[in-house]
Amino acid sequence: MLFNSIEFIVFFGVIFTLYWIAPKKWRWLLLLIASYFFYMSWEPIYIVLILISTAIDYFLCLYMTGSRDQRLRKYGLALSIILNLGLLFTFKYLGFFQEMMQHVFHAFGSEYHASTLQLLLPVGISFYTFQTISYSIDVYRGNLPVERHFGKFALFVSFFPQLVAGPIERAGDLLPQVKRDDIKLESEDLRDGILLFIWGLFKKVVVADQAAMFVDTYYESYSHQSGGFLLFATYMFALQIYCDFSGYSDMAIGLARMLGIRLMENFKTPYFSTSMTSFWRNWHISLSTWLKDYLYIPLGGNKGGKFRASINLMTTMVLGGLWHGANWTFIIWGALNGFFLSIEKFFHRLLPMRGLILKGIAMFVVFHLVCLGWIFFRSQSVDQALTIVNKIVHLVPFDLYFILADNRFSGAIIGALILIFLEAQIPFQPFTVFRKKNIIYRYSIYILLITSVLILGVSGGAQFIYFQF
Amino acid sequence: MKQTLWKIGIVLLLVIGTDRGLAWYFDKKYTSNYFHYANGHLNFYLQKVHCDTLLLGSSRVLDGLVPQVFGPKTYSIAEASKHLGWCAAVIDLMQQFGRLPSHALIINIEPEDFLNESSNKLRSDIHYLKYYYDKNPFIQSEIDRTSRFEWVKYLSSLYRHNGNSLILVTNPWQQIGRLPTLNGYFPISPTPQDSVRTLQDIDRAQYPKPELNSSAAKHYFKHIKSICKKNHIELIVITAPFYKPSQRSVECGQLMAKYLAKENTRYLNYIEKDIGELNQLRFWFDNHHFVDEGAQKFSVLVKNDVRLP
Repeated sequence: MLFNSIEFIVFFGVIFTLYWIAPKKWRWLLLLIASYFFYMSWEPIYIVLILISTAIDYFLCLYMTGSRDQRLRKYGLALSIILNLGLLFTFKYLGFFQEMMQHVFHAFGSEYHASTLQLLLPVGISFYTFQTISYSIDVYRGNLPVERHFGKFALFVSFFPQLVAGPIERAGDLLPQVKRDDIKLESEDLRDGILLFIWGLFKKVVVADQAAMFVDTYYESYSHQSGGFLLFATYMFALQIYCDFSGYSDMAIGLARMLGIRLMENFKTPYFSTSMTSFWRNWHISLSTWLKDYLYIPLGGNKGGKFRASINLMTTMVLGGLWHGANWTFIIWGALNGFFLSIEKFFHRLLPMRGLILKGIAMFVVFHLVCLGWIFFRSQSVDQALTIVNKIVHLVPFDLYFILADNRFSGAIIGALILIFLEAQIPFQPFTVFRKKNIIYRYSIYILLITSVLILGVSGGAQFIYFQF
Repeated sequence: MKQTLWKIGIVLLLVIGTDRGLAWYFDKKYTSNYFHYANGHLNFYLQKVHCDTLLLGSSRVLDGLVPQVFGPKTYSIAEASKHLGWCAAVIDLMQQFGRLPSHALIINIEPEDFLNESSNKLRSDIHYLKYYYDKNPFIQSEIDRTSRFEWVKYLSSLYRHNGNSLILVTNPWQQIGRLPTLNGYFPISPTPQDSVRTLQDIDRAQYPKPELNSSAAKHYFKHIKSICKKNHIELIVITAPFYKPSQRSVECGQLMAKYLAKENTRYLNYIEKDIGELNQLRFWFDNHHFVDEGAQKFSVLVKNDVRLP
């Protein structure tokens, strides 16, 4: 059940109505049932994994809190992390590592026979695993009181608006909200929730899905395509992935808002960034801050000099890349970004970004460095990515008319122009700035967005890119 | 809260008004559109053409069969990347509009359409005809099969132009698709890259043994067959050749020959048949499509094989 499907809208309509008419003390139960139903609409059996993950962290954290022995507490945390990462490893990385082992053994002249177990990747496993790990660490560190209500803790792990693709919420933010039973339906929440949902839907079906059709055509036949077409396809992929993922996040935040729950911002117009550091502060914020708090800082962070910090950064980004998928393309994507960030750490003082022109140049450079990473992210193999990079570098003249006449391209561009026009006005908090505009302007924008979804939107209900992670 | 609900109501009313207004505008655009994209050729055919023989299928018909070779009253309605589902819906529309061919229907079917994994593709093709949702019961019922709540989308009048609206506006600037002057045929001119493309395009993969068990494909085929039978139209199924067919195409073609024999339908499988000099690289645009010269020769071959009176 995808957010951009009629089935989901009907499902949410029912849940929304029941939620606000149900007795306050049972609302959590309704949301929990709805969340499990939502998850089971993909693959019912994988609900077992969420239950295992929930039970592991619930009981181990209770154990850690009850124990005064620091050593046992440490073991409790280690066990929680090992079990959670073990689940993730089994379902996401086992095949990849088996393949690697085969290559290693083959290189040494012996044979390694991998099991033929083919596991379907459970939707959202990377997201809820990270969410539960952060809970265990926070409880261990004493930053968070342990949750004693199993049902409410289960709802924190499985809250359906953000279950399958984030934002990866911190227990400190989400748990107190799902535990509250005095939430009232505020008109502001309802209005902003609906607007955010429409805004996200627009990004997804008008921009991302149209761009996707264009990108797929060129990336799938990359060996026949010239560098110019592939460069355009890469720009379009940058647009696609931003609108796909931030669109999903906006919809998730909007849905939660309609239920009186506030989720964290996940994107802050990242392509307007003038440095790689700023890009990563504004892109997939919930993952970036997770990696910073639970990986980069424990590794030493900025302590120990710039060189040490760069190594920490590289490690964090490579693991962040691996989090996205079991493929060398993601590892290289992470390493490239880590490399750019490390270089920036050394030279940022030499590059003062003052003045409109310099900022414009910086934005242009950052966007292209990010696009270089996207080539690896989108490609099926390193070989494909290198061929595409090579073709783009040896740019040959191409028929621009051919691209402009492609309706998928023009559709996505029209969507992108509306997007840029609106994002330039509402950079950080979608639609709050809008309230200051006059009523005709606001209503025109709402109608423009809804009409665009009806007339330009891709209606097939295409999967979100981040569901595969 | 009351105020917010009022505002939501007002926005909804405005959206409905815009929806109806724009739908009216695009309806007018659609009915006067004779360009290739956004069903312009089909529209032209349904409004203006009476033919005795109809060629129907995907791009392999569009640029692979020359209607005029078959006779002046032969017409081609074909669209790139369209499959059996689309063909069945088009034939149903023709019946509804009284525009069925008076004599014969030559339809190109890819045997792979009958693989079970193709079912969704066949059904999704019918969505390209969503303009006719509330005008043609067959199209409506097939679209409604997609999902339980598919009909909800059609509460918006504008939705029937979803995916086509931009094309309706930009059609006059497209490179191809002026008024159909060659009875629906689109010749492909040869280019220096053709031979490279053709050789690169050959599918050498090994596939598991196919099973033609798509209930959707059988349903659509039977629908076409029943319309032809009811209207005394001779139905001839062909499968256009490849420069080098894949192992799967060959095996699927053999299975489809058996299926069509059971269905008492004439089948000319050019994957198996000798296509003579058409084996030469210069006649091909890629592994699936002829350039104009190849299409002319292939059309003569088909014409001689079908022996229409």
